[in-house]
Amino acid sequence: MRYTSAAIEALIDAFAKLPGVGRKTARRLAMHVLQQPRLEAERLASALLDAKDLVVRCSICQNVTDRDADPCRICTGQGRDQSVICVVESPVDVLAFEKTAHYKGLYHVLHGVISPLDGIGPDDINIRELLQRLQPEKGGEVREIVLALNPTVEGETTSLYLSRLIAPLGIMVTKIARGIPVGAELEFIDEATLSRAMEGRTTF
Amino acid sequence: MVVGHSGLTRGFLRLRSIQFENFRNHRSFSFEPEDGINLIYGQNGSGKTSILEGIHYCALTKGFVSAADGECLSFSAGYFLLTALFESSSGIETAVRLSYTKESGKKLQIDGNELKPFSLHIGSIPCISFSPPEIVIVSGPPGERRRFLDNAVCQSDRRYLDNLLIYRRLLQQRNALLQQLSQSPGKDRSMLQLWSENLASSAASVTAGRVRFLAEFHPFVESLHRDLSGGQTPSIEYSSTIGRLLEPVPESELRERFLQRFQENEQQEILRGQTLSGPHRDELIFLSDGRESKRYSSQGQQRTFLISLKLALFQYFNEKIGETPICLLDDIFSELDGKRTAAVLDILEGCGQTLISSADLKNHPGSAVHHLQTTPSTRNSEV
Ligand SMILES: [Zn+2]
Repeated sequence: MRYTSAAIEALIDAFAKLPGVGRKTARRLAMHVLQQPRLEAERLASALLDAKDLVVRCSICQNVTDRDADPCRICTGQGRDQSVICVVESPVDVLAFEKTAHYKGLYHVLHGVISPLDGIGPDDINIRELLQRLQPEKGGEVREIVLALNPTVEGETTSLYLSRLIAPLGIMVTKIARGIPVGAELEFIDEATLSRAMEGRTTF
Repeated sequence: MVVGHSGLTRGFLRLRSIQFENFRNHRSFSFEPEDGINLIYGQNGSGKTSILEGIHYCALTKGFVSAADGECLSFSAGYFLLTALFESSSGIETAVRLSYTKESGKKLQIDGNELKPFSLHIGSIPCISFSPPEIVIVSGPPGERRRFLDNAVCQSDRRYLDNLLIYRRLLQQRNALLQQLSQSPGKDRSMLQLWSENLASSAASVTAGRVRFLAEFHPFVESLHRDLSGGQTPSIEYSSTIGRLLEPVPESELRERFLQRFQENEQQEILRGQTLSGPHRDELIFLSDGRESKRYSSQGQQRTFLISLKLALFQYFNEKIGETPICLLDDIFSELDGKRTAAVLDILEGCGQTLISSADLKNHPGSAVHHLQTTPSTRNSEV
């Protein structure tokens, strides 16, 4: 069934493209937008555009941040341990560790993992940026790299790749402990488990 | 509760009930087997095989042989639904609900909660089957024997299935990289080494799991096959792409051998764009008195070999996991002669729950008998 308005159909199509949103939910969202005052629609539209226009990747850790806050709050934060960098796949993983409120080091977001099936090689994720942070002229402050990638085949292979690149630099490489069920995504693991995993990390 | 069989002193896994909706020729049907041996009689097309297959689905999330789930849909139906209630030897009930639609595929619920991945369910309801199409395990291509072996190891070794799934994923990744390298020969090959190392470790653990299983499993096959075949000596050889493995080899050594093979074949693998050695190419060879069953045995002998394998699994699971598997024997009376059928029933009698489908009425003392009517709308089970 299609609506008689092309504008509604276009909105439904746009919602249905979002991950996890089916056609039925998209219709409900579109109807909701129609019933709201114009102001609400304006807010939604500008929130969408702001996210696109104002959000950039932190020039140090590659996590998402606002254009006027680069480097990000974590990279510049007081009381963060500058000698430890936790390497994760995506910004949601940073969020998961920050929620535990136990880890006080820095992060590096790769924005992906090595996966030939998806055509992603080492040059397609932010590995070069990580290596730059480890150069001696950057102060040589980093003593430990904690690999906290998802325990998938691709995550493990990326971890192995990174450990081989970094270990020769004389920096300790550790991996978070595996209280984590195989195949589980980091963002869905409860905070206590994640906290323990960070504490029980082992050298790679 | 009606006790279907005398002499049951210990507990065992049992199927209490199963309901079918749009599953093959069962539009809506429910079935409650007894303990012990259940004989299900019905003419061809009465749906007796589908009952066994539905139980197999609930235990192992798939049918007897590799086939698309969509083939199990009743004519013109958009979904099928199976709900079964199992009870373990310690009295714990498990409610299994397996549904399939063309749009969203298979879904599995255990005690009301959706379970993902399905691999978590494998092994919790041990089950063995014997059905005519499964003869390909002995007579068919190597893939059928690998499937048999993997199914068997998975049901008794929790970690094996995880290892196997990891292996398959690594294999896909390495093959994708090999294809990229074959298309652009100038590309940097350093990543291939990394995937080769990972795949070698994974190949070693899968191979070790298989060989370990076969070493434990073989004695069961040996004594059963001797009895059922009238004195023939069976043997099972694991022929890996890194050579024959007649006894367990340390995983570290297997890893080295796989790695070496990957290195030797690198050029050819890049050319072909695929991994040429590893557990996905290994072969399992069944021999009877030293001669390969696939090539030299008659069809009757191959069936006997298959039932020996299946009964050996039954005994092996019984011993190894301490839970008696549910036995599903499809059309066994026309597959095996009277002497062998009697020997099979002898083994199964008094332990666990067995369901046998048949088109001819055969009386077996002490077993529960179910008749299937052929008019689909009124099909019902009578005890
Ligand atoms: Zn930052």
